Amino acid sequence: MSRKSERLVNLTIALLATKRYLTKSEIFRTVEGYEGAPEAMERMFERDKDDLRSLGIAIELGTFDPIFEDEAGYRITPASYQLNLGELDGTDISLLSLAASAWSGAALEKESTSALVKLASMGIDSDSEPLSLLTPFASITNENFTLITHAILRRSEIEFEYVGADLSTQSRRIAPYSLRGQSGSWYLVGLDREKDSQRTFRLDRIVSEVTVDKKGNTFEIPDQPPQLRTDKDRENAVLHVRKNRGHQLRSLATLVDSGEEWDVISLPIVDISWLLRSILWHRDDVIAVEPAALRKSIIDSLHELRTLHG
Amino acid sequence: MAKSTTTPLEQTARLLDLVPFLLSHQGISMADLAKHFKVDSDVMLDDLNTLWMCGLPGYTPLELIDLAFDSGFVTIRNAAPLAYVRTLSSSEIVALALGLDLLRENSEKLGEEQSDRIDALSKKLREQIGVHISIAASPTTAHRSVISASITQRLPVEMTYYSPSSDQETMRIVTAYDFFRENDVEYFQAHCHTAREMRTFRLDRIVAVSLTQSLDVIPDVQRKKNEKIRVGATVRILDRASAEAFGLTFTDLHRGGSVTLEAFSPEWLIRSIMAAAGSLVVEDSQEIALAIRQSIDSTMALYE
Repeated sequence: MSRKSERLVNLTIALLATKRYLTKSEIFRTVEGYEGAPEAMERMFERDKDDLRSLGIAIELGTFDPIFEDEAGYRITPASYQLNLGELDGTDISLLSLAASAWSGAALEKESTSALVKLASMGIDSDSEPLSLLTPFASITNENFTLITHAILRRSEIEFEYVGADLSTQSRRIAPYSLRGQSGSWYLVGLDREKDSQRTFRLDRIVSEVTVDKKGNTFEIPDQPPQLRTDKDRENAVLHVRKNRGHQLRSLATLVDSGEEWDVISLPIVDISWLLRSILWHRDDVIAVEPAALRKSIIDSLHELRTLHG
Repeated sequence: MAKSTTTPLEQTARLLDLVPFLLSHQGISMADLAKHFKVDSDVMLDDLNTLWMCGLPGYTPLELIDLAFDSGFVTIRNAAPLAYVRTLSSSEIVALALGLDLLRENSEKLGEEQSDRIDALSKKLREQIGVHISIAASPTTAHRSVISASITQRLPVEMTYYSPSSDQETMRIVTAYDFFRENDVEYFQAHCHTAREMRTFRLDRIVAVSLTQSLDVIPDVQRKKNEKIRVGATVRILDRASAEAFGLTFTDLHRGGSVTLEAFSPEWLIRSIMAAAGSLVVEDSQEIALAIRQSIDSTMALYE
């Protein structure tokens, strides 16, 4: 049993139950667990306040009477302490519970467990209808995912080792802005401190544990993500694709012309090295036509491959 | 997994959440209680013993929280000041909001009313934290829900599956048995009624899938053995994309070093070596090297 958690709970009860602000000396005199020299109690109280704040409990500082300079006191208002998600009914509760159960065995399991306990404590009978839906499944178990999530919420900078396109490893220092799961991968968007520009990182290319700064609130997350380039601004590649082949390239392209053996497709060049690899992968089912530089790169790569495997 | 150790701060959070939970679950068994909080029963017993010492200043029996749990069932009284359900922390909100994203992706089974509800809840939660942590709709989750239905209800599904080794989409009827993960890729085991044998499929290669009652099968044209082939190769250029394509560990790659490339289909292997554009060079298989040369020649002919 821990004296500390007992004291923290007693402090919370005292500050929640009081209608007026409790002064420090009142707290030291009445709340169980504060003992020792005055300086020691002061230090203990400062730490306890920080600990309760880290649990998301807002401690309000105020005075009894603003006209007279009374000693400041503390309290926790029920309004700030208690869960308030507006009107919720049984269907909402069961949808939220189902959402929380997605994390069973995955990265945010601890958070979802405590959220489930809170939802179950609200005394609203959950409606079983949404249970016919299948349990969602968060497939991420990566420890760094949890660390980055907490860093974004606390606005703390992070550092990690990242593998570049040439497999070299670089230390990156990032102010993390957002996380997004897409097509099976997680992407972190943040401000690269060294390059002073916004970058995107794929989580499975982070090869170290993410270290999170102790200090929070060290940056602000911009309201509007910078304008992403749209397909209109990009150069297009024109390819010839054999009938019934190149499904992946076709799914990203528009059909320009349809012949007997070959189709002509056009697609925006988002990542030139990906396109190069993809065209080579399709062997004699895809021909690069435009731009000329792409066509030349393909021919050069083929010559090189031929020499290497000669 | 149930926790067996815990920090004072974690315990404090649990104690504060225990009170409203017990008030709404009077008489719950110790075992169920520990399960809800995902802790060992020893930890839960310690929690209850600690909570029993807490109360309003004065700390006489009149002020202390009154707990009874020696029968193995827990009841609580005199806990009014802590009766409030605590507000959700921002990381709890993230867990719920992402869970809702996943639920919404499950669009095939969602009615319009449910989908509106999920949107409203998601908006309400995200307004409280004001950061962007989200999951974009991807087809994988919707496909997963159909496959899980196949697993739980033992129903066959009709599936269009993309086979990258032949760059072809084929139609199959399968009954799924189990999901598993390897290197962060999701697979499932299924009896393929088309091939009349157990097969492994990658979830992200499903093009379309739906439950079916029919077992009328189209014969599998391309039956092949499920044996892995391995080929030794030299690393000529350090290239992340090639490493990822072959599932190689980044730190295992060194310029001039050797690696073993694994694949189920020689065709996939050849295509992937072509895509590596000279960063990996096949060393110990005459057969594969010959096939690569043939591929290169037939491709080059198109550019002449």
